[in-house]
Amino acid sequence: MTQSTEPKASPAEAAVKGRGKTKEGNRKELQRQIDENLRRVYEEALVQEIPDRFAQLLDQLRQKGPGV
Amino acid sequence: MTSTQTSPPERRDPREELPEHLPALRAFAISLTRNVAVADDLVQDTIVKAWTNFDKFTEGTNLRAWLFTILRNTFYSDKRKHRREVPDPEGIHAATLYVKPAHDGHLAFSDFSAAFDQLSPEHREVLILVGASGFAYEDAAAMMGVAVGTVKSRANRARARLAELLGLEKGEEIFSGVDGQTMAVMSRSGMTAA
Repeated sequence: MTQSTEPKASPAEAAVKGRGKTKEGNRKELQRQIDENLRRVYEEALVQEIPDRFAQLLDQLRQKGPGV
Repeated sequence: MTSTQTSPPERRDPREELPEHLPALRAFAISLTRNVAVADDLVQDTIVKAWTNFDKFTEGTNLRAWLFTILRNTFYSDKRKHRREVPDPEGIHAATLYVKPAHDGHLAFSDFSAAFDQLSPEHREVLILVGASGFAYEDAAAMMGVAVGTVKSRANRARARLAELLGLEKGEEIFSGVDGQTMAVMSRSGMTAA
């Protein structure tokens, strides 16, 4: 008796659970990828060489002295 | 950091630390403007402003956050003043995206990058500050001059918009329609943590 009802309910339950898990898994995975891509956008800009104009600018500012 | 007995209490001029923050400052400018030439002009203006206002910097506080604040304030005030269209030589903003949902999972960086370009500067700003540059929500809130809650809701809207641009929103409910409960779940799972 119990054996006949259980297998009946189980597959449906398992399917629902399984789908829930997959959805949650997909959601997490996409969030992870979005975060990863955001860091990559920033890091690609971060590793670029700083143009000379900024060193020159800082030299000029230093020569003028503080507060100028 | 300054606890070593032998080293004298360093009273290093914060101006000397400025070059160390240049890469981050420039990366933030590029993220905001999505245009290297415009970004470099913005960084230049920021350096000059910072240099001439260093007396207003409180030593011992976060110099990078202070510089970022000057940069984003300069960016938005320039935008208000000129009210001009952002020059778009590469046509990156003009392109309309129709990227197919990536159900199996892989987000191509080129697609992501194109979607990111289409976000508003405000959305790019919040995502970079809390998502990529490692600032805490509190720091980002101080920089943006808004409440922490505003930073969180703006970040969620920015994510939702990003998902929409990437074609991920339909039937997925990944980021769209984010309510309080979802937000609570998201923050519990650490997903929005910086």
